[in-house]
Amino acid sequence: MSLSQFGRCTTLGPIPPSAGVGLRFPHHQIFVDTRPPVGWLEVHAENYMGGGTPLRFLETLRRDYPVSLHGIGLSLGSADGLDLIHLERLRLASERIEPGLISEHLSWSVAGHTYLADLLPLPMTEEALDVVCQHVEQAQTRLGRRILLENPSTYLQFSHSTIPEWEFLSTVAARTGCGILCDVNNIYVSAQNHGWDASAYLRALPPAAIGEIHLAGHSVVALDSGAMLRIDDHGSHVAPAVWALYEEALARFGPVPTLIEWDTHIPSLDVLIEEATHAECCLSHSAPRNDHAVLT
Amino acid sequence: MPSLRELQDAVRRSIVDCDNVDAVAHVVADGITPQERLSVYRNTFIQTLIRALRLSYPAVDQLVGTEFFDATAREYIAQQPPRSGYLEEFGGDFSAFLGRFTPCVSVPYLPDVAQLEWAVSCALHASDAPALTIASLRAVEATEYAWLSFVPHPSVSMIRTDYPADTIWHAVLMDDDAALTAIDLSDGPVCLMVQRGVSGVQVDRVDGTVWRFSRALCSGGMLGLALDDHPGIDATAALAGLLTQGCFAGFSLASHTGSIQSPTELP
Repeated sequence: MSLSQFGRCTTLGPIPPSAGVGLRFPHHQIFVDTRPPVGWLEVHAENYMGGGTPLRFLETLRRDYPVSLHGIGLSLGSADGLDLIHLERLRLASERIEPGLISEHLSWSVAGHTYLADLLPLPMTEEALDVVCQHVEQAQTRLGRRILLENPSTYLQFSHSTIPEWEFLSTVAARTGCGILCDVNNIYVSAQNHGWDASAYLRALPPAAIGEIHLAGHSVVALDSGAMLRIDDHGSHVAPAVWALYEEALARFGPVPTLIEWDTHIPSLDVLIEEATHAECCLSHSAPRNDHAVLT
Repeated sequence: MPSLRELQDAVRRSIVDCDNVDAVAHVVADGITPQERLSVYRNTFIQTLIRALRLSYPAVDQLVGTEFFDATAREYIAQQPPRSGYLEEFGGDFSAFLGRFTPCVSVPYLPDVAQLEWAVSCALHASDAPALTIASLRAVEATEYAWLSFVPHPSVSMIRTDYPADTIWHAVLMDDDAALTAIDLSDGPVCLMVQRGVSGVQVDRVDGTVWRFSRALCSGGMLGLALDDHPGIDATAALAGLLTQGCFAGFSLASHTGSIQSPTELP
């Protein structure tokens, strides 16, 4: 086996339990030129569903970094059913990129053939639970692999919800075999917005299902009425309270692949790498989980 | 209690049509009105889609200015919101919308520039495909030429605009005031071929007859029929141009009886 083949094989395996960063267009060139030392990359699936320059950059970087494919447009919670064309686009992107992980969201974005360009909250009901489970299974069957499901940031709750979000998410994982992408910032944002106990949310998730953690910045916005709401805008440093919650997550879940997401007001790559280094430092101090030790 | 479909439809109406009537009844207030909570999602919807349109239509944006572009985009989004989560496909009929949108009538060439920008955007994001080479046609017998039809490369668009959209587009994006002043709006219509080349997207002005012949082939028309429709065209030269530019991704031979006009030689 040649060295280059060896290199390719190592980046095609599972995503390592280290810190990665979200790859965004403004950093394509500098990434290719400098190959900064981050553990892995995550890309939005929808940005690489076509061909041309973006895909060339990703294919080049793919040789040196493990890559995770993160979908934002599949709308797993739509009552209308999955958009099969979009699912096929995701499958083709997965076939080309050969990602170590594929993830999507516990949310919905499409109704009445209209894409609402956001990750909308579901009513936490038995009906919605059945719909999400059916669509996760459909996606996993079509993609031929397990996916991870991410908890969203939410700014409203529906009055007919009967199931706490953490229980809803854990049940989908148990029923479908999907993993959980635990977005620690989203837990913090939703907990603050709705008066939940963020630590209790973490404690309610099944450690064995956690396949990845997301970290990002959020903002505090004053609404017209003067009320305050935390908005998950991925446009700043990870908040100190979120780092603290991340330490709690690592204590419970053990070292898990951790991603720094930054999508608005994208900073220089150095800033992103600093955040990833912070996460890497937390990861290096976290003890492996007991069930992992038993398995190995 | 609403069904999931009823609830999602109510939220869709709130976000897209600003019709809160059904959605607010199902949202917990808890210190913030349901209307304000829903408006957070409406705001993301509008801002995300305006940003997507601005990325696809940078010259239109510069021609009309940010404020006017945003207002126009809002109207378009309300009338023709995206259908899927693949936003590269959103905005394909913005040009037709601009043609109907009364506040834009004072800029008659705006729909043409938008039409060109959409072709450029499609070329940028089109899926990859190896170009058909001249060599791969060598196996075709001369007697079969008439029954050849081609698969266009996914990045190719053939457009025709009443105004010189290519020179306007180029001058605006290059911020070339001198070129912009020199533009003669009566220098149209123009026939354009847009495709992604090795060094980026190419926009080429093409002779009208060659453009119509090429468009017939890019629509999958048989070579013999395209020749019948364009008598006198130098088919060998036109085909050579299309092939060397990588306009085709494949070909097929129709099964046939009888005879139609056939080129005497291929490039």
